Amino acid sequence: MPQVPHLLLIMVALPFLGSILAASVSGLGRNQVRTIALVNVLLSFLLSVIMAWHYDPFDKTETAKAKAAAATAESSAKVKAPVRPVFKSGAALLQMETNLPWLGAKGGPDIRFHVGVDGISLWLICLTNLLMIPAVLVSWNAISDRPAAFYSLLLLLQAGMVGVFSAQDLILFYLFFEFTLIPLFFLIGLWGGHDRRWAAQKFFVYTFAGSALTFLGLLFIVLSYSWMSGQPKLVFSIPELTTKLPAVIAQTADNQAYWGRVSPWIFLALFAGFAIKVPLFPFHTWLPLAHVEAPTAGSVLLAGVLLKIGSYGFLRFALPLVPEACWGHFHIIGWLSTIGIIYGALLALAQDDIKKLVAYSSVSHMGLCLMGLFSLNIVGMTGGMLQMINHGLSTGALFTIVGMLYERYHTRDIEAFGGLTRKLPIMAFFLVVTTFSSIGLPGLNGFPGEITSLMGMFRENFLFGALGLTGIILGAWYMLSLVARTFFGRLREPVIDAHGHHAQGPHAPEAHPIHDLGFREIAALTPLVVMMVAIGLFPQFFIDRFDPSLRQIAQTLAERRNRTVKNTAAAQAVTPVVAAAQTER
Amino acid sequence: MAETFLILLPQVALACLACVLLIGGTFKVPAQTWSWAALGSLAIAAVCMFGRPAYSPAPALTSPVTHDLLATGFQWCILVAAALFVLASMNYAAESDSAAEFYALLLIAVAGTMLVSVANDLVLLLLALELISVPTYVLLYLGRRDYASQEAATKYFLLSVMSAAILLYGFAFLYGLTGTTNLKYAHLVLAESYPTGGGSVFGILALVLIFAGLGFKLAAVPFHFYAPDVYQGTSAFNAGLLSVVPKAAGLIALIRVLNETMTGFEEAGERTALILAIITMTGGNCLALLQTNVRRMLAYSGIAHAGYMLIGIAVGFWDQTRPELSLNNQSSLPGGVHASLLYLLFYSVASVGMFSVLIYLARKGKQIEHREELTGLIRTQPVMAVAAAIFLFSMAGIPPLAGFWGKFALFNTALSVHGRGDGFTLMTHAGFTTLAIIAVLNAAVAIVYYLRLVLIMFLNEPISHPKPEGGYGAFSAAVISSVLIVAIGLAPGPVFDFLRGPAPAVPTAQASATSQPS
Repeated sequence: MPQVPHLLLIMVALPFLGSILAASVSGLGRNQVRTIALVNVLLSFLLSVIMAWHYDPFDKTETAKAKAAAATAESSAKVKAPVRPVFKSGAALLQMETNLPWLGAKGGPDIRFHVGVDGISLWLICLTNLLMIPAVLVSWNAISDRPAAFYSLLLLLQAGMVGVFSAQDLILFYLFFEFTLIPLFFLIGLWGGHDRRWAAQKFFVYTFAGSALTFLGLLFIVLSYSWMSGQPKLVFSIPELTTKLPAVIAQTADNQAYWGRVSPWIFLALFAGFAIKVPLFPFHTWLPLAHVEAPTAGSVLLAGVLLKIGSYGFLRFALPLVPEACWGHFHIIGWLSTIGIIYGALLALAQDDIKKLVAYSSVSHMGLCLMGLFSLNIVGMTGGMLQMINHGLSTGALFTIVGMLYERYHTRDIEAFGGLTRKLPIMAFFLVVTTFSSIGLPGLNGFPGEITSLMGMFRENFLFGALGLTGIILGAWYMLSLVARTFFGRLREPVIDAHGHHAQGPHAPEAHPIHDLGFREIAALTPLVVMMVAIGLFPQFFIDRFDPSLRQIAQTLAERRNRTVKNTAAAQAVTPVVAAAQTER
Repeated sequence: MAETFLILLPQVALACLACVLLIGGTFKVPAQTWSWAALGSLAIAAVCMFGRPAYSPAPALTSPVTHDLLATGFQWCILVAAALFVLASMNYAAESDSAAEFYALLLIAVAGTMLVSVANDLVLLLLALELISVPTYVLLYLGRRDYASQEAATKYFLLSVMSAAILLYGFAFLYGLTGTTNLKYAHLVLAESYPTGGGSVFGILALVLIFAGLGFKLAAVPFHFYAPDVYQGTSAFNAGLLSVVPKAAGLIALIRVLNETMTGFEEAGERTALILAIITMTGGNCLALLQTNVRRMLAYSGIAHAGYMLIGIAVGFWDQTRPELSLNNQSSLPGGVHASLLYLLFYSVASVGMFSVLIYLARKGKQIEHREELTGLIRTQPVMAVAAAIFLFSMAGIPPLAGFWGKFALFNTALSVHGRGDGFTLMTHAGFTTLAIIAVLNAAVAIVYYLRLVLIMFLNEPISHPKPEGGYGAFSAAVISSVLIVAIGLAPGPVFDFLRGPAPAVPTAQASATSQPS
């Protein structure tokens, strides 16, 4: 496959340009705009395939050495040991970078336009570009009002999301992070359901309030780094901060005492934005509203990608930069995600609107994802990372299917449906596969993610793990009962009158024939299902790509856990000095 | 002497051209001519800006004017804002029978504002401030002649006169304390009298009075009461003018008189500015939440922005006492006052733009009053709706728009305040960290009312079809402002670089190690 220079830059710029094209050329009909959008999305997906192809976590020379060593050992000991390829480490994991000066070109703060891909962002970028395909295809006929604006905002959202995951500069990350709010606000507010205005406003204000505090936390990390290292220039580069911060903290006892005092606060500031975005249990109230009111494409991207920004933020910033505080808040996050898992699942059980059910299942699944990440060991983090991708695929597919159902019957009431398999066998097939993926059936993608998340947590804390497990059982319950009630049993469908409104009551005369999925709809769902099977069958291939990046974070976490214990005495020795200085002030 | 004249050349040129306009107003010429004449005058002043001599490193101990980067940056900011105002008012002025007078007064006010930034003498400073106020009184009267507008003008006049008196009283104390009206000289005297800080009662009295007098210009809480009534009562153009020109003048005067002069009173100044900033931000934002009149809402939002600018003033006091720890030296990021200036610039452009939109949408004798009048603007006036959204999002501080960088600079300076107790124990400053957190929470409050306006414009169906009569001038002012906001947002480098000036000397590690605890 061909190498593309500045691949990440192009991947951010392409949808952006497409969006400008769709918005600025006047007189484009619906057909032209949606074709532009589709071509753009397919090109982006092709680029991400190229990216995944070329992303190389293995160190070839080291692997060759290891193989040679194994060969000699084999010849002497006559034992056949499989040789695993050796991973790269450090800066080599960040690949396909583009690093341009931005604000600090002539001195001043060194804010750069720095994009690149490492193991953590690789699959999330791929997921974004993959989910854009159903997002465009599912809107194909559903959006007839101002299509140019719709697709232009959709592509703008894509640019923002790819930007968030590829940014390697704090300010750039924050910029994309906030920027995603604007297109989604309009997507929900203009093309949403009945209560769209309130949903859009609540979503925007809630997320903005949290992320403003996160911004403060990020700035504070940069400033603290400058003070502790005694280096006057402010460093905004994420890889540099991640690699050098631990060493700088370890330099002097003063730095350690200082960091011990401020890092819990930094963690809380980061937590404010990311926990709302995930959303973690008490901060989830914006989510069902926004999901239900958003147009299908909006729901797919919101659930599939935008929630991942929260967990990505934890993984990218909180875990490697303030590991002590992560250990310190282990129990709080553990409880919150446990409550989220169970409470979300119980709420999902109680819903009679399919979209709401899927929305609450997101709360539950993202709780599981955070439980994996915050087990703070490599097993759990691997699970959390997989869970991020899996949840994106399965929830994206579920929302797409719900959107297709709604397009046909104009209702999402579970009670109104029954036995649809007879009427819509292809849709039933996709729904069943997606459901199995969502509840973690072995052989599909959900299984490795859920099981490793829980295994990681069992290692640290048995109670959380056990409670999380009940969430999985509840998940199987509500998902299977949803499928059973709507697609199996006696045929029952809402009746559509000539105006597209539905009337209640079984077996009323049909005025409007219902067709099974067409080619376009199958094309929207197939890539998702293919990926579910692929991850389910070959999880190691996907894990290998992000494993080395996660291992580095896990290593920092493990080291700093020990250090916090060891240095408690040292910190106490410094405390009187600090107290004296504070009274002086 | 010649140098002083050269420094003052842009202001002198503007004042002279204003006189030409006043005399020319007696001839019968199409009103549009005067708009172009005013734009030409601003262009001439801009050309004069290049004729000024280089900055001199020695403080101007005898000269009545000072000449530095701060003044230059500020003057450019005002010139750009004034040019946009002239564009925005083209139709508005053409309909009145006193276009020439209108523009002449505007030019005099601009000259006064530019003069404030170079004034190095208490008397000149007071004169310059009056040079802004007096034309503003007349401008407020010139437009509409209904009760509301007269009430607004009278209110502004009375309170402005009173604030001038308070300010003068403060100046008197300062003069009594130092025995000179020259600010740089006064700085030296104070530095000698209070080498260890602490100050004296009379000095603190002067400080508080000056804060009160200039707080009126900034519309800082609790000196803000006039602003909402006046903005609501007067025309959109006047409201726009009031939202930029007096605020800018008040800010730069605060920097000149308090930050740069009153050494020895840093602690009192820092605390006053901190408290003022917190109550101004919070008060402005919370009251803006309750407004339904667009101009009244923008008045409160302007009050909140004044609060943000005061953060920079507070940090500026801190920078004065511990230059070796301030960001200005540490990283050559803008320090306190520079961050305020950046914020002012970005706020001004957005504010001018937003009021241009209101001017454009107004009809003869019927302005945009209630926010519901903007309902569904995206359907009826898509360009204006998008421009307005850009201004509102910029004021809210959403990246990648200019306002975000202003907030970035301010939050960064506020957080950057730290100390090293006992020579080496690193610690943060509780007051400024709290300030930064409150500022961020305020941004979250502000987004609610900005978003509500965007929501009304974009997400609701139009209930009426406005027939805008603002003309191409207002239209292009809005478009130019929005392009500026987006361009600065995407490439803020040039503005930051310009305001930072040449790189400062790198502090030695020793300097920061020997500094006193905070």
